Amino acid sequence: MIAALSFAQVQEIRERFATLARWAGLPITPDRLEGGRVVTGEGMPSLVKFADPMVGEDGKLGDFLCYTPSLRRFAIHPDDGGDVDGRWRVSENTVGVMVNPSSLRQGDFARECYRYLLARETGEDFDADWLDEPVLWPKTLTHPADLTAARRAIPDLRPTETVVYARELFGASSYIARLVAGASWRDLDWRTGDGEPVTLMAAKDRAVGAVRTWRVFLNEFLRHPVAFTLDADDRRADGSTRGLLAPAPILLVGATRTGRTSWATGERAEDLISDAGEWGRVLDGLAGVSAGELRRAGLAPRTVRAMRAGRRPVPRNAEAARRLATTRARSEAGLAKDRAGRCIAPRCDERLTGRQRIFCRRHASYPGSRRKAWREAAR
Amino acid sequence: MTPRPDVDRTWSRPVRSAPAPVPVELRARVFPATPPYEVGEADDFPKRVVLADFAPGPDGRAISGVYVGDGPDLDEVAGRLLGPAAPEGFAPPGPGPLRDLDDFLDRIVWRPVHESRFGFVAWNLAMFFCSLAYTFRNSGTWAIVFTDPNPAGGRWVDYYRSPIVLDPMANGRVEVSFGPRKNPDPRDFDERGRQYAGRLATLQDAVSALTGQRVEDLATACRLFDVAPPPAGPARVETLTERIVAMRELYRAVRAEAASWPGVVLDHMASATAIVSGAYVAGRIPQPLLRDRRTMRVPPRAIGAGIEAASIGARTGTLVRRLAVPGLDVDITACYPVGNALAGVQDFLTHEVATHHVHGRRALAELTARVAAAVAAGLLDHPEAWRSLAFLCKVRPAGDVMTVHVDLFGTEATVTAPIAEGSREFWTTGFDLALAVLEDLDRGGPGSVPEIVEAWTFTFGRRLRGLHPVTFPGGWTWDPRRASTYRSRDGRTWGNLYLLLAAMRAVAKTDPTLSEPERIRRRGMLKVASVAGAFGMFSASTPLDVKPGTRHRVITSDGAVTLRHGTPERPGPWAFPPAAALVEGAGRLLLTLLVHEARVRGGQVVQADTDGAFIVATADGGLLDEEGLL
Repeated sequence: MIAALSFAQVQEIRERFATLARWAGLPITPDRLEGGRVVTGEGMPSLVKFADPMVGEDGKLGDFLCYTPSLRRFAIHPDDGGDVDGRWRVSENTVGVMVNPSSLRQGDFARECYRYLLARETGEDFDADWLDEPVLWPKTLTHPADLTAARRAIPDLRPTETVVYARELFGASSYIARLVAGASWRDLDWRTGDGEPVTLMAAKDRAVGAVRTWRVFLNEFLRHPVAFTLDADDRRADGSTRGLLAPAPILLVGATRTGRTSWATGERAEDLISDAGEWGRVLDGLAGVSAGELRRAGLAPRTVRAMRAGRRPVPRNAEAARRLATTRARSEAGLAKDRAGRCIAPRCDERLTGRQRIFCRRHASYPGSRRKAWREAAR
Repeated sequence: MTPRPDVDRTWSRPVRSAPAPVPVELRARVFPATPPYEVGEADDFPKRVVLADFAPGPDGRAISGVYVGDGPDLDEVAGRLLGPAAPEGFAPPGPGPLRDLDDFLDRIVWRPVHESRFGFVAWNLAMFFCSLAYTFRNSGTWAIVFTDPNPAGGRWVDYYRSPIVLDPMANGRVEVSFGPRKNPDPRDFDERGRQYAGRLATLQDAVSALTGQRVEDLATACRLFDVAPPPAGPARVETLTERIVAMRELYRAVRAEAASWPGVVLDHMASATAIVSGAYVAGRIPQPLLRDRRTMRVPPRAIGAGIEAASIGARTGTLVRRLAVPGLDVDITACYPVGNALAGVQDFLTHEVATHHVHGRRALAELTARVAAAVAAGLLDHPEAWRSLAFLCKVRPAGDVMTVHVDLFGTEATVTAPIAEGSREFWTTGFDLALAVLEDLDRGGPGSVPEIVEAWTFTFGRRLRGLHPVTFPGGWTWDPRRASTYRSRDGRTWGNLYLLLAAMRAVAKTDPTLSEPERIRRRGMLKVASVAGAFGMFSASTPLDVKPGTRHRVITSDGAVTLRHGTPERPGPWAFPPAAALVEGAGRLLLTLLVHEARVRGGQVVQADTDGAFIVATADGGLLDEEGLL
């Protein structure tokens, strides 16, 4: 169950911020709530205001719903979801940086993206031509490093020109083309990263060799977990979690000092002073990993034992060890899909290993009647 | 979750009291240990100006272009040019003489703009010169436009005339200037020995700065400045004449508006922060990191602690996922400017500052008591209590809920979460200690203050001498000689710059003297300026374009360190990380108070981000069944 406040209680909250508003002295119009209607010019000014589009032109507080698939991605929309022309407020996070494949304005296109997601959630039909168009990421080449990388594919590119990238559905490779204003993606001269000409295929009827479409891209929103959270049952929240979330407790085990974050390009800050204990944590992460899993990751169990005993690894092994520790840590934290599964006992987050299928070693030893109840509850 | 009626829930009682914490790494910034560039009053942009525009071909090279003059004796100047991609015998439509590329570059760019010091304006200067360039040098950051024909074929680079230097900025802009040349004229050198860089202005940057939003299209820019727009979309050969006419009108409007703000010059308008920087210069505010030790006694370690605390980020959180939940979205008005004022941060700029390193048991206990007292007094009822929390502290968490910026093998997030006992210590602010107290109260705890192991506190001495009041458009005045809480009876003179900018923005919403485009421009620009001035400019730094492997020094909370890798940076002109940390901390506390007020009424928040939250609410309140929410 989710507890909802009344509109009057929300107004009370706003009024709690009246002293700060008075102290700040900002020219804020006073208002008060009267029967679900905001009356301006009376009451007291508050530092907390109703955001757009909560209040209608007649001052009536609207009935709005908030849908949030992941952090900083949301759609606030009228309770009557079919009211497309109604007042929507939609986050353009991630959607806004891509080339708009429709003739709609950017804000309206973002709204359509969320209408698609809402339709997916409710199992309703939603179709639009742009859903099967490829997702194109534009990049204006102003930095020398970007220019050098793009010139490997298109040698005559000039600084300040814009290129577009399309990502392959499977794998991490991208295709690149020079953006020509007004031209369709089909008419662009697509190249691989090495400059080989290629014909771009949207992943509509085929997946192999095709590039990510808006349908695939938006579906990822539903699978993208809210990092470091727990669900209502105190299990790690992952991409499939729905409903109430709570922040997961964290343990700060190290610190990396970085340079500045490039907010404009969203680039990760550069590591300047790495944490001295990072390698130790990688080795700790490999403790208890089965020999089969180590082999699948490209590591001989003997090598891991030697590394844990203090032997300096060759770069290839160090990289493989890091990759395995990363995969395990990310799935432990619910950030990546965990193939191993977890114990279904309430509030037990133990990862299943070996031949375990439902319960961890500890809960497998509980009485059968209790395990039966847990199985039923989890069904 | 709704209990399943057919299952005996007594069997599913908690097996473990709390899930195991996720082991994560803290990510914190360091700060460059170099002084920032000195900011002085910039000369006015030249009155005599050449404006130019071009139509690109599919390969990015210009097909043709057009130019006009503006200013004394130049109003009648106009002409066309042939770009490097022009077909043989091509005669584009338009006014004035048709010049080939060499003729245009020599007679319109080099002689008037470099030699006679005229201004040069294009919608996007970098694109303009790149479309004309013969070749590029220096990894694409020098556009070679001045060349001579080589009788053997191709062209010779003219080293006696400057390359066009393209300096990519972190926000995606490219600054353009004349580069060094062979045998420079003695009058090319300024007093610092630098060669003349030209007075070149990108109209797109100036428009974006004055509207607070990135404007991509000339037609949109014209509409925002109430100028008759040219046809929308990219420049084409047939629309160049209309574009240059609109551009000249736009240039005049932009120049007039820029001149109405104190200390703002057309070719120094990287963003709306130019308004704040101009106000500081006009108000004779000294740059914090260039002040002497007499008026600014802040050791590097305090700066390092400040940047570590300033890199935490804003509070965000998603607390209900993938359900369509009814409720009300609320925002905190001018969150960062108000946070800045509550923390008394402007005093760092206007007063003598002294820092105190607190590490004794009794002194730390006094700080802990200070936090508890401020929360107990009621932070919403006692704005004066906020200043007591304006300190930096290193905490040793033991299950306290705090905001930290963490990383788990590539996944970064700013999380507000319980930090388990045994975690490493980290730097934060006094405001975050109050946040932890409120979160503890929300969880049913006694309201414990996290353990402080070390702190930096600040005291303010006399007001600096020589400060000046600064007048803004509309009769608004910032008077840095007044207390930062000062506000005149008519509400037009303020002691606090950031609140003044927020007030100007609020008034612009209903000001009947402003036209609609003016209103949009002013509100957009003031939004960016007030937030950037209140917070962003205090932690700003810019990457330096130097050879990889260049040694550089950075400041951490443990002192300065020399590094041989990474990109060296230089602090922004108004950087002062402890101030940034305090503003951000106060902002997080304001949002926490909003969430706390919802929780004490039994409410729930769907999501919260920086300065607002969506509170679950219906007209009459009550419990919502999750099953029916989507």
